[in-house]
Amino acid sequence: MDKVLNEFFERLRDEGVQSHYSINTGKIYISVSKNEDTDKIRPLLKKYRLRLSFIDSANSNVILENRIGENDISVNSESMLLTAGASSTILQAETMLNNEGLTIGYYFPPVLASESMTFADWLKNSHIPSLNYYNRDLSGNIRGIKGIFTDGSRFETINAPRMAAGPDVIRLLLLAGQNLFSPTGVTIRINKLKNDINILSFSSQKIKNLFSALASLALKNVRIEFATLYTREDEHSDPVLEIGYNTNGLYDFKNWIIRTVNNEGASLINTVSDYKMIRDRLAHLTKSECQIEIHAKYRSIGRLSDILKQFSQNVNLKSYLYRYEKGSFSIRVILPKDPYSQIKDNILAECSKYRGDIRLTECSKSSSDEIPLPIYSRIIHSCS
Amino acid sequence: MERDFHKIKKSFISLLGERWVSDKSRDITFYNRDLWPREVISSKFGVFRHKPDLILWPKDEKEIAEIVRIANENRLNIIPFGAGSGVCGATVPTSSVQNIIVDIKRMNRILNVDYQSLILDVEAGAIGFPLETQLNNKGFTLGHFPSSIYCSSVGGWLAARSAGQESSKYGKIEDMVVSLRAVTGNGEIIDTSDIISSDIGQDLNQLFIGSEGTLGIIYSACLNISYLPKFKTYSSYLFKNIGHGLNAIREMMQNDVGGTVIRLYDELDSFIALGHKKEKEKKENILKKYFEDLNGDFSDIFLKRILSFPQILNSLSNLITQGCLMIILHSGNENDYVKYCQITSQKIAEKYGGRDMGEEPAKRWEKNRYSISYKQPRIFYAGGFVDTMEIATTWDRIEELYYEVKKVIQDKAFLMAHFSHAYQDGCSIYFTFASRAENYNDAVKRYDAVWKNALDTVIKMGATVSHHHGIGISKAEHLRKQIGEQTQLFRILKKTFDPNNIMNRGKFFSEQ
Ligand SMILES: Cc1cc2nc3c(=O)[nH]c(=O)nc-3n(C[C@H](O)[C@H](O)[C@H](O)COP(=O)(O)OP(=O)(O)OC[C@H]3O[C@@H](n4cnc5c(N)ncnc54)[C@H](O)[C@@H]3O)c2cc1C
Repeated sequence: MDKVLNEFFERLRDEGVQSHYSINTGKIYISVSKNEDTDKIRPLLKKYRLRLSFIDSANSNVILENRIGENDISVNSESMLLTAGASSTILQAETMLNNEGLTIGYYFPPVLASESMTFADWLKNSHIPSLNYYNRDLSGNIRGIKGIFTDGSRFETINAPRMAAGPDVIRLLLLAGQNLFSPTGVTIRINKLKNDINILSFSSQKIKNLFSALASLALKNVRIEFATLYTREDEHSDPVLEIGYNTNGLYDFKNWIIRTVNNEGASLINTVSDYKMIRDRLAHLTKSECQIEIHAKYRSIGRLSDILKQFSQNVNLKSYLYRYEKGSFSIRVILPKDPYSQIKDNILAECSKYRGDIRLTECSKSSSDEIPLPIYSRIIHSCS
Repeated sequence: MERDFHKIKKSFISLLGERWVSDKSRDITFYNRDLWPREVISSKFGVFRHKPDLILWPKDEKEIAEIVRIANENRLNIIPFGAGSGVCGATVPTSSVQNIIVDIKRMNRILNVDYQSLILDVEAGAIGFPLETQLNNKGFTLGHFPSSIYCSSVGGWLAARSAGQESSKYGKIEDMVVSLRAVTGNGEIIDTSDIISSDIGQDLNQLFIGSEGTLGIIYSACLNISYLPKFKTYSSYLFKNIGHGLNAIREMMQNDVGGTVIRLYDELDSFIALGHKKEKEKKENILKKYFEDLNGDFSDIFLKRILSFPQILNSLSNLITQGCLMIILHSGNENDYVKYCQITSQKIAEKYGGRDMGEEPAKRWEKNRYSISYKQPRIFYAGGFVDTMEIATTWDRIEELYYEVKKVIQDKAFLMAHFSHAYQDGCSIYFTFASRAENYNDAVKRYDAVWKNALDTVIKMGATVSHHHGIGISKAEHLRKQIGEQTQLFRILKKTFDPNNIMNRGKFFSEQ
C-alpha cells in the first residue's frame, strides 16, 4: 500500500472509524454511520492531503460509504416542511405524512411510482419536472440539504423560504452531485393531502387544441393540481388532456377549467381515470425506450403540432406531457426502435428550424453524469 | 503604473468612444457608493473611503466582452452597476487594484415580448418603472414592484435577488426567470436558454442570480410576465398582536388565498399607518407626534432630539396597544375567484380575531406604496441614520425571531417592523431602524453594533441574513460565519466563471 494511504488507514483504525483496505483495488473504503465518525476523518484527510470520493472511480483512493441518517424523518407541519435522512424512502415519508393529512404531492411523473426510491436517489433526479406549472422542477421544492463534502467537512444549508444570500447553493449541490458531496439529509416542501381530486378529461382531433388549452390554463393562472396529456395507443383515437383539480376548497374550479379548455376547441369527454391510474400510466410511459423530449414555448404550439403531424403520417408516434411550466412545456415522444436514430435526426432537423422556441433532447442523456455541456463539465471540474 | 492606466483608459476610449468613458470627478463621486446607509453616513460626514478609477457605459454585449478581456489582461476589477439603489455596498469599490465601474444603463431596451408565451426579453439596464409602464400599456405586467422601482434595474434585481411588493402572487425576481444572458468573468458570452430544455432544468439561471456581479455581467433576461389583473379587492384587519396576525398569514398562504400583497405591521408600524386616518386626533396626542415625525413631517431639531434616545422611544412604543394591522390585496382576471380568495382570507383573519378595518388602510397603502422609502433623507439631514433589515425564516420560528432581534437592538436604535413576502413555508421580517450620534466615529460604531447584534441573533436562530437586499459588503462577514464550509461552493463558481477574480473583487468571499 502507498505510504500515505497506509498511515491514513492506521490512523483511521486508531480512531475507531470503520474502514477496510482492499488489496484488489488498492483503495480504502470507509463506512460512517454517525456524524462523529466524519468529524474524526476530517483532520486526517487534511493531514494526509487526501479527499473523499463518494463513487468508486478510477482516480479515487478513499471511498466513503455514507450511512448517516438512515431512517429519520421529521415533519414540521407548521411550516409545511419534511426533513428526512438521505436513505429513508419516499414511500416511508409519504405514509407518515398521509397520517397527518399531508403529502409530498408535487405530481412529478415517475418519482412517486417507485417504492424503493430514497431521498438520496431523489436528489440525483432533482431535474424531474412537474405536471403542475406552479411547482417547476423538483429541485425548486428542496429547501435544505445536509451532507459531507469531499474534504470530510459536514454542512447544512440555511433553511429559509427565500434568500438573497448569493447564488442558489442547493442548485449547485444538485448539479455537482457526488463530485462534491454525499447527502445525509434533505428538507423539502410538502403539501396538504387533497383527497378530493376530480379529474376532467378533454379530447380533440387536433393535438394543437390540447396544447393551447395547456397554455391557456397556465397563463391564466387557473389553480389546477396537475395536467396530463397523451396520445392513445390506438392510432385512430384522439389525444386526451386530463386536468386534476381540487374540490375540497370552497371554490369550484370546474367551470373555469371547462370554459378555458373549451375555448381552445377541445371538448369534455367521460372519464374513468383516477390519479393512481394516471400515475401508473405515466410511470409505464417514462420507462419506455427510445424517447425524445421536445420542449416548446407556447408560441410555437402550432409549429410543434405540425412537426408531430408530419412525422405521424409515416410512423406511430406516442407522446405524453412531461413538463408543464409557465411559458413553455415539454412532451416526450416514444419513437419506434427501428430506425430510431433516423427518425430522431429528422425530427431534430425540423425542430432546429425553430431554435430558441422548440428544442429536442435525447432522454438517454438526461442524467447529470452524462451532461455534455461544457459549462456543466467545467463546474464539475472546478469541484476537484 | 499611471502611464499604464492611461493606456488602458485609451483602449477603453477607442472601444466605447470618448463620451462613454469617464474619470471626471463628478462621475467618480457619484459612483463611489450605492445607497448603503453606512456609506451615506460617511459621505454625510465628508468621509469618502472608496473611489472608482473609471466609469464605462457599454452599449452591447460585444463591448462588455471586450471590456472584460481588457480587464483580464490588465487584472482590473470590474464592478457591474445597474442603478446604484443597492443598500449593502455591493457596488462600492474596495479593491486594491484599479476599479472599473461598468454601468449598463444604456442597455435598456425591450428586445421582444412573446405575448403567446408571456415571456419578456429585456436588456438588463432597463429601469423598473418605465419597463412596467410599457408592459401595462399593452395589458401586461411583470409583477415586480420593489419600492425602488423608479431607481433600480433588471440586472440589479437579478444580481441581488430582489423582491417586489406583490411577491405573494408573482414571486421574487428569481421565480420569474426563464433564461438569462451574461458575459462571464472569463469573457465568455453565455445564454442559459441554450441549456434550458435539457433535462437538467434551470440550474444555471439560479447560479447566476444573486451573484451580485461577482461572476459576470448579466446583459439581458427572459422573464415571465402576466396579464394585467382586471379585478382587485382591498381588505384590512386589526389583530390583537403579531402572533395572531402571523398565524392568519400562514394559514392564508397555506390555503392559497394569501393574495397579491399581504403585509402585517407590528404595533408601532400599525400605529403610524393607522395614525394618518384621524388627522385631528393625532395632533393632540404627544406620543403620536413623536412617531409621526419619524414618518416624515418633522422638524429637524425635534427629530435630532428624539433619535438620540432610542431606548426611550422604544419604551414609549411598547405602550401602544392598538394592535397589528394587516392589509391584503387580491387581484386577478376571474372575478369570482378573486372574491373567493378575499372571502376565504377574511374567514381566516376572523378565526384569529382579526377585526375588519375595511378597504381604506389597504387602499392608502397602495396609493403611497413607493413614497415611504424616500423619506429617509430627512433623517440623515438631521444627523441621524436609518436603515432596513430584511431577514426570513420558517413559520415555526418567525415570531421568536422578531422578538429576539428586537431585543438585541432596541437599546441602540429606534425600530419598527412589518412582515411581508409570505410563502407557504415561511415569511420575511422587514425592520426599519433609526438612530443618531454626534460624530462620525460614534455614528458608524452605533450603526455597526446594530447590525452585528441583529445578524448574530439571526444566525443563532438559523434564519437567513437577507431575504431580498443581498449581501454586498454589509453582510458578507455574517454570511461567511453562517455558512462556514459552504464558502467552497462560491469558490467553485468563481473558479468556473471568473478564474482571475476580476469581477467585483472583495465581495462575497473573493479576495480584495
Ligand atoms: C428606496 C429603496 C427602496 C428599496 N426597495 C426594495 C424592494 O422593495 N425590494 C428589493 O428587492 N430591493 C429594494 N431596494 C434595494 C435595491 O433597489 C435592490 O437591491 C435592487 O435589486 C438593486 O438594483 P440596482 O439596479 O440599483 O443595482 P445596483 O445597486 O446597481 O447593484 C446591485 C448589485 O448587483 C450587481 N449588478 C447590477 N447590475 C448587474 C448586471 N447587469 N449584471 C451583474 N451584476 C449586476 C452590482 O454589481 C451589485 O452587486 C430598495 C432600495 C432603495 C434605495
